[in-house]
Amino acid sequence: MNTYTISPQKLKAFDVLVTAGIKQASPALSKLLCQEVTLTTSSSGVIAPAKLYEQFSHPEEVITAISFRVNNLEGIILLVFPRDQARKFDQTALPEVASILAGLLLRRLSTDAKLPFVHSLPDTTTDMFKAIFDEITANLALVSKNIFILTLELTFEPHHADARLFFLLSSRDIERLFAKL
Amino acid sequence: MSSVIVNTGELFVGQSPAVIESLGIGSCVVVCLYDKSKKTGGLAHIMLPKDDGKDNLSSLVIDGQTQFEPLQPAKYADTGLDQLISKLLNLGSSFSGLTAKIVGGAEMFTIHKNQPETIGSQNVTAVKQKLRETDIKIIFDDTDGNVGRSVKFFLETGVMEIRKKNTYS
Repeated sequence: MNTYTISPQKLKAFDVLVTAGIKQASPALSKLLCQEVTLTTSSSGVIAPAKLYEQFSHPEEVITAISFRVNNLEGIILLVFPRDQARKFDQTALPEVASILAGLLLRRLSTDAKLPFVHSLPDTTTDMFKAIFDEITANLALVSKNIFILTLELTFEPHHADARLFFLLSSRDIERLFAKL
Repeated sequence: MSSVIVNTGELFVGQSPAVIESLGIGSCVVVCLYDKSKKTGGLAHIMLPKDDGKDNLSSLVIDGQTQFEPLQPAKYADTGLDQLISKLLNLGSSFSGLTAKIVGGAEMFTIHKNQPETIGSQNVTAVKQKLRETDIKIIFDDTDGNVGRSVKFFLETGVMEIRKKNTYS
């Protein structure tokens, strides 16, 4: 049996890095949404796929998810809004909001890990959360038997809107990434 | 009556009046087999097309806490359907009386378009091939598309109810 261990020190390093990257988003979001936007982060962590379903109230909960593939990694980034939270934004702006966050996150990771990461164009869907995540995890399962999920909770003000960022990675790539932190 | 929930990679067999449910099916394929004469049936929630035999149980230790991955007997179409059929025969179902209803295999995102075939489509192909090999007739097929589905399978009648996202909007 394989055992993968992620230490509290690595988790802390990841939290500092991701939070710093995402917090730079407020100016770009303000420009995009034509109003002063403040983005705050809380409760980052790493979970196993089996724990993913505890992150939502029900498998049929409808969410809006904007996803990106990441080059140089067996990984997918998703920005997820519960349906009532997504409605607080102009729907056409959501892919741009997600692109800003994914871009800043990857830029920070690229700088610290000294590896070039770029994301794909955004792809948006609104459906049951489990249906969405099953496809993402199945695609990663084709290339890796073990998957880790990095999570970060976000709050947008003055929208009072909550969202969650998920970064799904193969065990090989999370080890590669954490080894650089 | 309360229903049994079958999650991704799991399967369940039973007899009337049991009700079996799977929620939020995306690229996965749910296969429901039913023996009308015995009123026995089963449901498998398939995640991937083929077992390459390389699966190994692993534990993840995150921040000092161990998280074990659950066993998933129906993770793959080929081995999962073998297990579903075997369990139904052990329950007294007649092989020649089994019919199949299949649901799922959706494409929720287009970002995997670089693959020659989406994972949902691969799952549908693998399930249909396995059922053809075992001579089990498919009497209902709601696969492909780009919408999530939930199913409820009633072993009293063999009826399957399907819910989609728009049911809730």
